[in-house]
Amino acid sequence: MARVTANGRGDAAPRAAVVELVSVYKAFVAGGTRQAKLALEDVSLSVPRGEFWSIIGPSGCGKSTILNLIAGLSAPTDGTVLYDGRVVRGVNTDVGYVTQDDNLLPWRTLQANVELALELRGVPAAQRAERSRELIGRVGLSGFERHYPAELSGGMRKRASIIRTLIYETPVILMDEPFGPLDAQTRLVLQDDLLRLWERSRRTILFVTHDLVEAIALSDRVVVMSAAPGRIKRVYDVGIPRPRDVFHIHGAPGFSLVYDRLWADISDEIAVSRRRRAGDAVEAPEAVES
Amino acid sequence: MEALAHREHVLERAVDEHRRRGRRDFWTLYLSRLALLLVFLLAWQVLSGVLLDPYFFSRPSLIWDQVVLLVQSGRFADNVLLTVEEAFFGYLLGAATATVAAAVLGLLPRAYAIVEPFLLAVYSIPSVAIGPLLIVWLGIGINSKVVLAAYFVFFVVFMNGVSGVRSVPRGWIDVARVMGAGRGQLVTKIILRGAAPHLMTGLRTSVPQAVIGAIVGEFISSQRGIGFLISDASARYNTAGVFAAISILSLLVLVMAILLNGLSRLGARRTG
Repeated sequence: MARVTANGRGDAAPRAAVVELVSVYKAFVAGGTRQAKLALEDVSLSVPRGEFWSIIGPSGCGKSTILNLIAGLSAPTDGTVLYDGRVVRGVNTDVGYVTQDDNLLPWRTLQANVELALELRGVPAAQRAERSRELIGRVGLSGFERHYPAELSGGMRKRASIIRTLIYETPVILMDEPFGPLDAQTRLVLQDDLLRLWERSRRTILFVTHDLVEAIALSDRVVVMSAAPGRIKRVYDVGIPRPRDVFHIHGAPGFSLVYDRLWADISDEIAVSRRRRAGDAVEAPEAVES
Repeated sequence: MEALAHREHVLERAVDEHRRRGRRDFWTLYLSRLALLLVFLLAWQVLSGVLLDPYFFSRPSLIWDQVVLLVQSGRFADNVLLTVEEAFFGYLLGAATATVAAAVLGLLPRAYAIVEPFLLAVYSIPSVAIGPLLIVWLGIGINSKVVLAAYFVFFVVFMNGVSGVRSVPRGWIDVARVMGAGRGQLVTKIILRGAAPHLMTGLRTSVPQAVIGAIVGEFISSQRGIGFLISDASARYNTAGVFAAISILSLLVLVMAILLNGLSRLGARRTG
């Protein structure tokens, strides 16, 4: 692995971006109305290969929309989405996508769910089983291979949905609040699992979350988005050295500094979106910086 | 050691209790059903001649005689088998065409939107209106009954199939697409498989429909079959004969339902 430190301050040696958004706008027309609403406004991002990025912001700020654009499941209304230097047109099968709902197929056993991508690619059963068993073991699900999703707990299902995305080794992985509905303890354990899995392969990860501490604990950089329409407010360099200990991340050097600055930004945005929901039409006054 | 043995004992007792309760529930259920049937038949038998005019309402003992007569004369097997045959082939025809149509139209929402009003128009045709037409087209023999049974089955399976295809969550499809699934793989591995529970409901609930379709066809015009027995007996004001044929019909549908339940339970065990 070329990189030793988790992240140097600034971009001393800029590496090629694997995912790039150039002034992306996305507008939706809500069903029933004829009015278009802006979900993303002038979003530009450039994610270098091998880094772990988190995107945080108030709910409804277009975080998931960004992932859908990168996966090619929807197209930008204006602007360009690039993957590996090429414009994304149609579904982007070079990324793995861990969606917010685990989307495990209820008629498939845990193992068959984990092997789905390999099966779609025509990998022979013996090879599939070997790969899936290894990953299932690594996240502590051995013995549950033949269980159906309905027979697994929420945390187990999340683990399954993550390893079924890791199994086919895409260079980029998109994760949409993968630990959202879990209890705090399970979350920590899964964050730890994820970091360990990531550190073995160092693929590029874009991780959407609304949990500040989670973003800091996992990421090289944290993108803060503004309340709807989503814009990039700031990109923070976390700079906490790796390997990290998610269970004691609060005590890590630099944690409280990053936390305070992030929280200041986020609380502004939460206030904006709250005021807006209360009915005051407030044009977000903050200068946009990225 | 003592604690361990005690734990074993407690677990065993729980299993025992569970088994005993299961057995008791089973017998209560079937004995209650049997009792209900007996009370009904007994009340009918006793009231017939007192409150009910036996000429119009007959009575269980007379109906039983009719059934025995049917069996002894050999007409029973002959007529029942014909109706079963009609319903069976009608079911196959209707279920197969409906499954294919549901898959195709469920996947092509625009095509579905175009043909939807026409389907509704065909669906709204009363069977008593379409039956005579089918007999004119296909003759008085088995073909017209098979097609009528298929017509009854088709819409039940089709509607359930389409709603099944539509009920497949967007997320399952998107996840598979990002994983690189091709069109064919999406259809076979995700969409049809995801629609299976709805489709199964349609395939199950349409079994009695197939029998009804066959009977309606026989009713309109035929020389054999359970439907013929009913219309023949009622034409002669033989109420006991009508009830005998109806009882045979009910029993037939009941047997089918039991078989089907067993089959789908077998299927459910595989899919979880």
